[in-house]
Amino acid sequence: MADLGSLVAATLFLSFALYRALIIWRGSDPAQRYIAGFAACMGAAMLFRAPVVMSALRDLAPLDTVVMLITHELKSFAHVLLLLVGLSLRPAGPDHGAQGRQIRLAVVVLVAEAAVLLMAGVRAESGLATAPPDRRWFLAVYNVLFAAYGTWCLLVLTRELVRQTRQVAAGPMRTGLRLMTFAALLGIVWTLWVLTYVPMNLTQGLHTASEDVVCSVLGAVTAALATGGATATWWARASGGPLAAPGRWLSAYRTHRALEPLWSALRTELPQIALDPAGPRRPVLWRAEFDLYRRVIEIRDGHLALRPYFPADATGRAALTGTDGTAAASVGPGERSAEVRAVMEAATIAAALEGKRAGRAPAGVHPAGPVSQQIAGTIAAEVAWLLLVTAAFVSSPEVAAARIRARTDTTGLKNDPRPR
Amino acid sequence: MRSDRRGRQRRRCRRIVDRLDLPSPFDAADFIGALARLRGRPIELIPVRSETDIPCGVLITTDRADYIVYAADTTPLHQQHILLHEAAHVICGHYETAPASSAAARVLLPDLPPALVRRVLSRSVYTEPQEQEAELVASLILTRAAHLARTGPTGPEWPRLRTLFGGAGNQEPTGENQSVDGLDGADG
Repeated sequence: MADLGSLVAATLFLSFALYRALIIWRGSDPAQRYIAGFAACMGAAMLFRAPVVMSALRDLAPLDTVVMLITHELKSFAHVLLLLVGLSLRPAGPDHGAQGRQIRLAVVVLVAEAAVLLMAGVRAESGLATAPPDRRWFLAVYNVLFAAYGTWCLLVLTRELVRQTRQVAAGPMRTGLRLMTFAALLGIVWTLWVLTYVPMNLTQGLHTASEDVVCSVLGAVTAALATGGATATWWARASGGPLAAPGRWLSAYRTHRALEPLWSALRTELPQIALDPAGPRRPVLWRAEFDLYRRVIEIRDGHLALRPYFPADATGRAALTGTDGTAAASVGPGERSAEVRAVMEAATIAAALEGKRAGRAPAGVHPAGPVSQQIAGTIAAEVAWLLLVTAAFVSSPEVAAARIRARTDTTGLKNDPRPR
Repeated sequence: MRSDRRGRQRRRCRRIVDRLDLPSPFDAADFIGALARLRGRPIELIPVRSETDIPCGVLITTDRADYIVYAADTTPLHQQHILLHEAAHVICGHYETAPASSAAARVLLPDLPPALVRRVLSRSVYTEPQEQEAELVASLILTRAAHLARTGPTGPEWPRLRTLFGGAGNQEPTGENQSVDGLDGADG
């Protein structure tokens, strides 16, 4: 279990370090080097502290003590790099003075840790580090120093991650920042776990040279959260882009087809609304989102061009009943349900189309659309609205009645051409 | 033959749009404001109620400024599209070859002396290649903005965070760093 956790953590951290290294190749922000450096140091430490790797190294040479010293220093250096990432996330940008002070402090801490560990006279063997009886307290001091400084670094990073999370709008980046915040909090638990060894340090002079089960599991979960959070935007791009694209195209294709009756009726009377008059009516699947957008705009262009033909009482007649024939007159204009408003718009368009088809003269002053300003300014909102309008345009009895009235009115106008 | 021309036109427009730095969250007025600052020429947006005898969008160019007159009594998305269509004329450099007078300009801006009007472009039909191009560019801008809104985070910290935790190596250049030539594209 300890092997599995350590190796999973090492794989995640080292893979992430490689990914970041490729990005650094294109960038120049020092914080990117801190992030890549942290992942590389932590990944290497976890790899060499995996019991199976230590055992393999032991077969090559008796290097347990050296490996233990180096991996401890790598983990401490990883903490320093996280502190620098935290400082670089501050609102005013990286404060070079503060960074300089922190780097000097970090050097002091790293040197002190190494000195204390050396003074402890630790000998690591078979995954277990042992200090002589008169130097056990050095081992305890080392662990307290490691836990205190590591926790301080992670707290600085956590504070900045929380602040950034609050300022970023909902989306993949905020999700990623939250995951990294959880990783930092779990990292604090992981770092403080070393204090559970202090009693054993003082009483028996013992410490584990490799990762124990708890540390390796904490390390693996922390690595998964940290690397997952730091690559959340990439995952979002992949899942919202290439991976999800076929589903979006299919949905756009169906919606494009669903809007066909309304668009087709408008285009027949107003051919100028089409950007590509010779274009196919069915969209190519991979371009369906763009074609759907064009269909929405062309319907809106047609709606605008039809304004002179809108009946004068366009907003009143169709509003009297909804699609199901229930009375809606008692509901205020601003409180009408979307279905009723969609019927009103569909009836207005149908009546205007009938008027234009019958050759009615356009009016000089014409009423504005009743609901134009109530739709949110997004493609999704406009599509949702036009689907309602199209459904009403095709099947609503109120819209059918509006068509008949428009025909009758136009016939009346032709029979009695006196101006009204 | 015709489809080849449409294909070339579409690819050219896509190249132009891909080079644009779109604000996030996207707003056509903000985008046009940034475009005006980049060119060092004001672009004034004038909402009007649509009338029978005038197009729903008009770009009027004078010595001092550009005016985009647009129908304000349509849906917000349609308004944004009309604004972007006129802005696309500016982005593509169509104002350099447009006619110098229009009845629509006289109706829409009666206080503007006709002698000051240098160019007028109207969004009405798409028979002219310039109108087709502007319409395509406007459509591509808004579909790209919708894609960015779906996949990209927003907020003032976004550029910095994108540098550190996104796939970009560097912060992308801001609008101020882009040249007008860059906006105009290969066929500007």
